Amino acid sequence: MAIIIDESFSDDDSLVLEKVEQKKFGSIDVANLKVDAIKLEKNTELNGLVSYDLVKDNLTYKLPHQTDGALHILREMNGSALLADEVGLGKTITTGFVIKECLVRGFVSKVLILTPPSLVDQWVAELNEKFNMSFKIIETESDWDNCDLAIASIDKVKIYDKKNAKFKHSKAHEIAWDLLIVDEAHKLKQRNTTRWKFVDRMQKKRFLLLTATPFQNDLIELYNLLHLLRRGHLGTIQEFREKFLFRGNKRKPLNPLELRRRLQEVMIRRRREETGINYMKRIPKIEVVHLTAEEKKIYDSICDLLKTKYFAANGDELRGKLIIYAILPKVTSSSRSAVESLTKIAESDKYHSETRQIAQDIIEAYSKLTKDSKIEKLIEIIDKVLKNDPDAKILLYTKHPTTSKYIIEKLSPYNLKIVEFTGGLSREEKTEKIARFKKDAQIMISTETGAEGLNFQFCNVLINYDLPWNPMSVEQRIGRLDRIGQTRDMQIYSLATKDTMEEHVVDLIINKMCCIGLVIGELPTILFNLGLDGEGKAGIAKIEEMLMDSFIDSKNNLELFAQDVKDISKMIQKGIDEYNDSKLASQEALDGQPVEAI
Amino acid sequence: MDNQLKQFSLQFFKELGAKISESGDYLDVSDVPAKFQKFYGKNEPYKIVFDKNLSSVGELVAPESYMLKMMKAYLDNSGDAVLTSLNYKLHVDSFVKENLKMLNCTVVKATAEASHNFMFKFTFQTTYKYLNEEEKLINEVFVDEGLVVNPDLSKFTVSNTNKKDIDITELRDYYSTAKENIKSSINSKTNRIAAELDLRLSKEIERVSSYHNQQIKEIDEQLTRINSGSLKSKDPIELERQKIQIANEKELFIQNEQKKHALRLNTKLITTAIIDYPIYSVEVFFKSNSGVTRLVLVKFDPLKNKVDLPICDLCKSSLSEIILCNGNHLVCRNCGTRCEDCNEISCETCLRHQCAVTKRRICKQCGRVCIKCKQFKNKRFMDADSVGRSFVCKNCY
Repeated sequence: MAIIIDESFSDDDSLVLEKVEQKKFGSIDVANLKVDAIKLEKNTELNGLVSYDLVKDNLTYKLPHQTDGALHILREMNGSALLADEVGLGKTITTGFVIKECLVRGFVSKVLILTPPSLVDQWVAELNEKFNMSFKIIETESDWDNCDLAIASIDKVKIYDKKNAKFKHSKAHEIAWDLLIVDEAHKLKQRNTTRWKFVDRMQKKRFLLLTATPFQNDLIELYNLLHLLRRGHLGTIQEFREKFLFRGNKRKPLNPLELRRRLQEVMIRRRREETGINYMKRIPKIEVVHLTAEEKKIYDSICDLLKTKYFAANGDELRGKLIIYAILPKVTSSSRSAVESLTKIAESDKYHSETRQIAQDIIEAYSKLTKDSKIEKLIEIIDKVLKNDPDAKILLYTKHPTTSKYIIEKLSPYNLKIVEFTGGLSREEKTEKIARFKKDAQIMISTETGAEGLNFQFCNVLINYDLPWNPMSVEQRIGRLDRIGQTRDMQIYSLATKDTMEEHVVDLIINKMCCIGLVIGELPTILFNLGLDGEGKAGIAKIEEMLMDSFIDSKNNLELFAQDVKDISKMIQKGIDEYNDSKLASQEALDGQPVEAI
Repeated sequence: MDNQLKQFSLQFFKELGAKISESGDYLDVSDVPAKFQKFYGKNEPYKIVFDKNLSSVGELVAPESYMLKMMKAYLDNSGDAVLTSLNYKLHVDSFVKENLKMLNCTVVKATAEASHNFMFKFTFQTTYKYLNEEEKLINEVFVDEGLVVNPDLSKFTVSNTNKKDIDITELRDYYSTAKENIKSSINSKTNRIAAELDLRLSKEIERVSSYHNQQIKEIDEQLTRINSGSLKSKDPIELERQKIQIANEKELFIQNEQKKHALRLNTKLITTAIIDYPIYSVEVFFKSNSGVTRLVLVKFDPLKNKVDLPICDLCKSSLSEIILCNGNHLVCRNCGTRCEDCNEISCETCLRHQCAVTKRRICKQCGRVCIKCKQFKNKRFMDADSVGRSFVCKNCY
């Protein structure tokens, strides 16, 4: 028997009566309007998304599969589903619509999103920018208090405290969530993991699992996922084995049609070809910079300084990773930013006199340089691109504002139309600069923080003047171009200095990770699967930290560094292979036809 | 519907004091108060459209649109208490003509004076929330003098009023009356939705039960095999523990499904209107054919369309026609009778006397009492004395 919760005739009625008693009368026209508004609202049918009007201006494209998907989840699946769209179709947007619609219609007030660590900020930004929803990031246990819209790194909150026999974030289980969302849900494939148990224990009225690859090696993984979503939907494990598991092939269902029929009741899965969305290719172009003998000498001196001659004033060796992490990217970005960092060392009494002297010597060596090979290479690339396509738009990235200024200065003699895009711009300034780039300018020079979350699908040339050692940052850069609406293949230029560690890093990040034919959204999944998407001990991205550590430990031995990079590359390739496997398995079982692996 | 939405939008922005101009399929709205702009989350000017196909060029106002939702929400704390007047124009002559038939008289003069009465209108909004659906109902309950009434307001115009001499001592009692009325009127809808939810819930309970029962069955089979010695790798105590765990989990999941399929019902008072309406006292001055005059008072309540007709002075019955007796009485047909001399209508009170000469019943106008013999006789048998003030019958003269 359905429970009827009658909340009628609350104290609010008294407030209305009090107004009458106090003879605080309002206008009859307003009272009539109020009643008319209620009557005019269509209330029963969930025929459309009320929230669409509210967010439409924030979306670049209206993609029917996103709004239809959200509506289907709410109307036909009562807000609980496995959203297994192929990568690149915008599961985040579909989910955003589900949340927004529920909030606008008043179905939900408490929403929790559990995501991989590297995607927390991205989710927060997307929900904020596109849906005007502010989600609070859960860091500590006290953050759960009075938190209606929460987002947490699943890896952080699932930690089980064996000593006290409870989850560290058990507070999450005390809250009755109106809507729970788990991103990259394929990681919930095993029932005996703390991750699975943490999610299973949540009190949830509506439940969305997001993954493009519901299973990898074994259909039991799919069973475990749906077991979490809807107990008994695929029967008991014994029934599932008998009905759907093919002896000798764990990935092939015994009754594929029956399995698909059952899945359709709880799963939404659309493929790119069904939606008409095509992602264009990323064409990597590594541009090798050959340093002059003087430049190479300076470069080696800087590396040597940081690795072996880096001393505090009292003579103690400075091996603070964080300090090196902060200085290294600057000194390798451009000669201008290197001089800026070296000047700070030379002028600071925190450093040993010998260290300061070496820094001073390098600065002087810089001042005597007559050539900047990196800038010359950049000019050569720009010339090549514009000769090839005079209407080309180039998005040029650097990590540092100093380098950005330096590039602008060096390009000034060439009469190029350049827009500089750095952090700290107001929304109006950003809009104005984007419009200028789209209409008139040939080059936009940007830092990471400047162009975060912006869309430049009208541009298909990207130049990495310097390259972040965090692949996700590079992925973010390319992501500005690689979006729905990009109609041309993208040329991804990256400058790599010959015979330096950069050459290896660029190869790893560009050739082995970011430009290997993956669709946007796949790399973070692969890194998440490998446990490499979080922060390392030093608080920076794990891969970046691994590379930095290798730089420090290799003591200026390029071969050792190259070997470490090779190991990382192997690990990544293994992750890519596993991911492709699971993609293939999911496609075979769920879509009924095999697809080519990457 | 589009027109209703357009009218609503026009009225809404007019109430806000905004500048509105109509151009083709949309309304251009500017000078919108900052408070609403902030509330809506978007700066003016607004181009209001009513066709979904035009939603890309402006703010859509449609049954499921966000703008309409926000307009409604903006009105939420306004118009809670209202004092209004029902205006009615009484045409006295027509009223008299329609309501008072006259048998032996005509109207010399008719005037009307209005007094005020108050009725209460309670507007309730009932919201049904279940699964991902929400239904809203509006119900109005009118309470007049403690009773739920169903007035026809079509003949009135409504306006704001500032009368403050209203009696609201019974307000909360009247609210309770209205509340009880609402409870019974929404019952059938509540039951219908609950039945639909029951149907869906039973399917979910079936799924949960079947899954857990199957699990228990599988464990029982293992226990049977353990007892028969064909299964040795499992611990029967552990299996029994699992059975208890499964049974507990089943209860928990059923409870969860019940919660998910719960119907949340909320009826709340959104507006209370005190409605001032007139009750008329109509004074009609009649004159009979024989020249007798009489002032008659008729009460008229236009809200209830109720006319309090005058009553017969004799039998106290309500008069469907005005009969004015020669003795100044208002009488009904039963109580009125004709004078056997002048044939004018008179009443039993006035026709108490017979003429001592003719033995006929005659009215006061036709007969006189002789001051000498004290007998009541027809005027024809009388003479006036020298002064002309007293009558003496011819026999005594």
